[in-house]
Amino acid sequence: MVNVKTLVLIISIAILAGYIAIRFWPGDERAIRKQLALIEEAGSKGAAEQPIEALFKAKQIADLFADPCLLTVEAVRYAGSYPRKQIQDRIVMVRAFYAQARVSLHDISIEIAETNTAVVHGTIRLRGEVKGEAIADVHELRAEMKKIDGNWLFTSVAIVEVLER
Amino acid sequence: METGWLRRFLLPDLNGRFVLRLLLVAVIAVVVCTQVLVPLRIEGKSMEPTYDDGGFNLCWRGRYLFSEPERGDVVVIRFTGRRVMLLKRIIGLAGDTVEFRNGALFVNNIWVKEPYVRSPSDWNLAPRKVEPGKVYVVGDNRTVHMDRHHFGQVEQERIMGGVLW
Repeated sequence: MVNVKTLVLIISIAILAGYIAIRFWPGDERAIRKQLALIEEAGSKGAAEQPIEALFKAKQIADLFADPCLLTVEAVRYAGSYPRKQIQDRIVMVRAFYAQARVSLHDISIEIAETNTAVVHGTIRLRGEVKGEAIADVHELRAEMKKIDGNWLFTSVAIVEVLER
Repeated sequence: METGWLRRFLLPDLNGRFVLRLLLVAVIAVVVCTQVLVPLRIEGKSMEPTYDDGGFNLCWRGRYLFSEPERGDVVVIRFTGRRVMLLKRIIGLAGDTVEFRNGALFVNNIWVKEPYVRSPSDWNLAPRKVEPGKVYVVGDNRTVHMDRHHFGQVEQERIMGGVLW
C-alpha cells in the first residue's frame, strides 16, 4: 500500500510536470505569447535610454505588425490601414513623449483558428512619467494575428472602448 | 511550558488528515479570493480623496446579486479580466441624462450634490443620455484634466461588484 508521503510526492511531481509541460511546450500559443512579451519589453523605457536604443526598440515592436496593419480606435470611431514604417515612426514619437515608461499586458486570451490566424484579447497598461508627473493609462485590446512566414504578426489591432463618454 | 500544540502547529505530522485539511484550506482560499472577495490594490489618483493611491480594498462580488447598482455606488469595472480593473463611482443609470457644468454634476437637469468631491473642478460636458444596460461612471478626483480621466458609460455586465469599505 502506498503511504501518504509517497502519495504527496507523486502528486507534487505530477503537478510540477504538468506545469512545465504547459509552460514550455512549443506551439502557436507560446509563440504568440512570446511576441506579446516582446511588446512589454520593447515598449518599456528606462530613464537613461539612448536614442539608438529607442529606435531599435521601436523597430522591434513595428516588426510584429503585418505590412500594412489595420488600426482601430473605437473611442474616436477611427480605423485606418498603416504601413509598418509609419507604425514604427508613431511608436518612436509616443515613446519619446515619456521620460520613462512601463508597458504590461494582462488577462490575455488567445483563440487560434486552423487557418493560421488567431484572435487575441487583453488589457494593456502603461505607467509612465512625463515632465516629472506620473501618468497611468489602461486599455482593452482586441487583435488579430496571422502566421506569415513562420512568424505571428498583427494584422489588426483595435483599442476597445470600455468607457464611452 | 506546554509547547506541544505549537510544535504540532508549526511542524505537523504529514498524515492524511493534515493533507486533506491543507487541500480544503487552499481550495476555500482560492474560491474566496477569486469569486467572493477579490483583493484590490488601488493604483492611481482618479478616486482620491475617497480611495488613495496605494490603498487596499476588497471587491465584494455578491454586491449586485440581488440588487441593482444605484447612483453613488463605487463599483469595480473589469477590462478583459480581473488583473487590471477600474474603480469608479456611478453617477447615472440607464435612461438618465448626465452633464457637467463648471464642475457641477447635473443628472436629468437637476444639480447633484457630491460630498465626496473635495477639490474644485472646471469640467464641462454636454448632456448625454445613458443607454439601456449601461451605467455612467466617473472618478471622485475631478482635478485631473477631463481628457486624462477615464469616465463614461459602461456596460453593466462589466461591473464585477462593489468595494467592501
